[in-house]
This record gives sequence, structure tokens and C-alpha cells, in this order.
Amino acid sequence: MAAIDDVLNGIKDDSVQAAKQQLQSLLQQAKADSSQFAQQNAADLELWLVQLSKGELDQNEFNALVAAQRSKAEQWVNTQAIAGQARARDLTLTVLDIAVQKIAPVVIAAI
Amino acid sequence: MNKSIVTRPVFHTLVFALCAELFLGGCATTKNAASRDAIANLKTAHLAFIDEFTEGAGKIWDDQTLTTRTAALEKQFADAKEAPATKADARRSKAISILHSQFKRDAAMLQRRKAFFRTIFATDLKTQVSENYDLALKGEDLRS
Repeated sequence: MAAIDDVLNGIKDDSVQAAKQQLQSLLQQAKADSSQFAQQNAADLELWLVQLSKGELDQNEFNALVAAQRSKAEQWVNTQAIAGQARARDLTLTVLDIAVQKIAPVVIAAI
Repeated sequence: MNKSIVTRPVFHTLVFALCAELFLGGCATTKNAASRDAIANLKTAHLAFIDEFTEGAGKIWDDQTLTTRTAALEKQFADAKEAPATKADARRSKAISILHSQFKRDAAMLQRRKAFFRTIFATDLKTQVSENYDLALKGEDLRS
């Protein structure tokens, strides 16, 4: 079982079950996406959630990394526009929002 | 109902949208070697900044060093933003603004904590920052 599954399966709080399932589903979608950008972002987010659960990152550091990934996504959209391939991509941003707002606080509380 | 009353706001919206597109599209996509160099130099300086403020043997925290290094990079960002090739290209200006915001967040985090970045965090952060600059550089290379 992947380390991220251990982290997410360890969350027993009923109030975030829906968010947890949504995050798992979005991470799967991102990893199966044809875009290497989406795949890499999902892999990075999984790594940070595992590091957060181990106490290797604190919540401020986790949030800073998510903000950096969001900034990178903004840059990616800008670069796509230069290439004349502007298209909305909110998969990365939606995954990040759920991770920061719903999952990270519960993971922190469980340490 | 007077037809012109209904159609005028729609017309104005369309004209505004067209102007916005012309502004963003019309002044974009011109290669500029100096701009590419400026972004590459910012990347080197930003990553070195993170390295300098990451914990390590024998390092002692000094507020003044952080202030000095932050001011030096702020100057570098200001110069890049003020360059004519940046002002003439909305996409380039946006790319540099995104990178500058990232730097400001990193410097502010250090200022708040008054402590070095931890190693694992710094490694993860450098990956994100480096990839952000690489995308901006790719944008420079895509220009005709």
C-alpha cells in the first residue's frame, strides 16, 4: 500500500470523510492525466502529506509548499497562453484547496 | 423597449473584451535575450537565497543578513520589472510578478520565523521554485 493511502486511511474523523474521498479521487485523476504537469503536482502533494503526517513538515511549511505549487500552476497557465494553448485547468487547484482546508488540519491533529 | 438601450451594454462589453485580448495578445511573444538572462539570473539568486537561509552546521541566524539579502533580490526583481521589454509584454510582466510574489512569500516566512528553513522543507521548496522559473524560461523560449 502506498504511503499516502496509509495517511488517508488513518483519518477516521467522520466530518472529513467526504473531503478525503474527493481528494483521493482527484489525486487518482491527476495521476492518470495526460499532462505531466498534473501528474507531478499530484505526486508532490502526496509526498508533502506523508511528510506532514511524519512531522517532517509543520503546517506552515505544508501551506507554504502548497502556495508555491499554486504559484507554479499560475505560471503554467501563463506559459500555455504564450504558446497559444490557453485552457482552464483547475484540477491542480481543486486538489490543493481540499488538501489545505480539509485534510492537513486533521493530519496535524492526528500526530 | 428601445433596442439600443438593450444592446449598448453588450456592445460595450464586447469592445472591452476585444481590447483586452488585443492588449494581451498584441504585445506578447517577442523574444528578448536580456529578459531571458534576467529570469535565469533571478532563478540562480532566488535558489541561492533559499540555500543561504537553510539550516546547516555552524550557521548563526542574523536578521541584518536577511534584510540585506532580501533588499538585493528585491532590487533585482524591480530592475527586471522596469525593463522596457517587460513593460511592453503583459505575459512577461505577469511571469515576473508570479516569481516575485513567490520570493516575497519566502522572505516573509523567514522574517516571521526568525529561523532558518528546515532541510526537508527547503528541498521541497527549491523544487517548486526551480520549476516555476523553468516554466517562465520556457515561456521566453516559446516566443518568436
